[in-house]
Amino acid sequence: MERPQDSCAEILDRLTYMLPAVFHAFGISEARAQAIVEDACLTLASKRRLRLQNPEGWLLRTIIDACRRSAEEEERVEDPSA
Amino acid sequence: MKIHPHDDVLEEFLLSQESGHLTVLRHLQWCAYCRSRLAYLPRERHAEAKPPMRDGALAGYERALEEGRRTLEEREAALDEERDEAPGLFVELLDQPADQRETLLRNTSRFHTWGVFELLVERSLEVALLDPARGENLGLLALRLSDHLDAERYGAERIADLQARAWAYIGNACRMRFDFTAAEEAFLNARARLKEGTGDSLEMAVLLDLRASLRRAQRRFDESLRMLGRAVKIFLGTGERHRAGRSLVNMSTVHHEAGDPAAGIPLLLQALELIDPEREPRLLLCARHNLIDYTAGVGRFQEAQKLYREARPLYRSFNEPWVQNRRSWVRGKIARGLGQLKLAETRFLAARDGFLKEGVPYDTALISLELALLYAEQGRTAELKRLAAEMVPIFASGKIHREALAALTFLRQAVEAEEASLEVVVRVADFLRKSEHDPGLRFEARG
Repeated sequence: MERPQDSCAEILDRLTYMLPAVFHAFGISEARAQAIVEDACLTLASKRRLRLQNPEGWLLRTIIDACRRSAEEEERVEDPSA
Repeated sequence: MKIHPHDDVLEEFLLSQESGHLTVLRHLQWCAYCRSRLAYLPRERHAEAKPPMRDGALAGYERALEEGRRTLEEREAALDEERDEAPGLFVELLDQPADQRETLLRNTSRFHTWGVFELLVERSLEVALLDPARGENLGLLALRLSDHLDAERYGAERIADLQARAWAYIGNACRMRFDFTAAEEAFLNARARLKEGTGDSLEMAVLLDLRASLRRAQRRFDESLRMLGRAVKIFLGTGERHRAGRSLVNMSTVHHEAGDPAAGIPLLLQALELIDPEREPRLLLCARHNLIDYTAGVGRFQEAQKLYREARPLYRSFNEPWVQNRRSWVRGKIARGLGQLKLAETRFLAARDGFLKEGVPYDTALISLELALLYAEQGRTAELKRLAAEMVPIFASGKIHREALAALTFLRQAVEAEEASLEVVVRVADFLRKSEHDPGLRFEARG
């Protein structure tokens, strides 16, 4: 029998305490942080049938990857020669 | 820090930690997975250290997270509703004649939901196990449906991810019905869709795992092993231990089919550490059965018998002919290896009768050859003749490829002419085992 899965909102709740520090470290604006969280969570919600074994790990990794990409893009805009 | 810190430094460090941090440290000491996660966490910035976060900034992020959570809850509730409705729509779709399904999908917006899309994709994989052509059709239907999905609502990249999975499942179904050209094309389509997707490495690992099975079927074993190695690395790196276990089982099968079962044994032992028995008991059974079979295959019969005894309760929980016939077969191999010839014969006969009853001609042929070996070793010509006569249904089935048929015909003729030496039986049995995974292999009547 399939084990019940936590909702994505519950998974997000378990990460909420650590995410502000992540956004701050990458210099992510509040608006961008919201967009990143929404996008990552919706992608997680779309993959529920994959029955991820570690959805928190997946979500955290996806959010950090998006923060990293966002920070790199911003650095490129600030310094086009970089 | 490139130099290992002195014990005193480590001790001072530990003593300076609060109890909560110490718990985390103890966990990190033993958990390779969490240590690997540290690599993703914000790293020290040497050039421009961020100023400490002010309360205002924290409150701002908390607001953003709260807003994000609200949006997520709404969208997740909508997705749940779609998923609840999907099975009914799925049945409605499949109740239509096959040639009308695409029209229904195109013209009826009720079907244009993520719920139906992902259900079709999932069923495509499941159904293909029993009926590859039907599984392929479901995958293609899923792709047709995806053309009508609202990209703004569901996200173009997320749609591309699931399209990639649909193509991968189609590729797998094509591989299962031996259309390797179509399978290759489907996997290329999957890769192209992934490039348009979210960049989720997990999707890449799913694709690699399935594509590796195609490479195995094409007998391109090195490529297959490389792909599976990459898949295992990704799965382990993302905490998907069960999926990593599954890929390791696949790797062991590649070694077995390449004629090196010994190399598969350590991989199966590793897989058994990772497989979640509750999630997929059949995969656990598969791993344990293969471990017993490969161990017997390399002549370690005592060890194989011990492994079999440990797996007995698991075998009992799958009281279906497919499993029980294979169980009798492997028990026969062990008995034969331990010199218990009468017992081996009983087990092989039970397995053969089971395969005959189930109408599985290739396995019937293989097990008949095991019996033929037993009889030939003991010079039991009469039994060999009877066995050859009992092979008639296998010939009549039309489900055996022509080279295997040629080998069996050769054996039958030799038995009837009373010229079936042990060497002939061994040669035909070896050929049949190899040609099971390589239908292109040719049987040479004279060695």
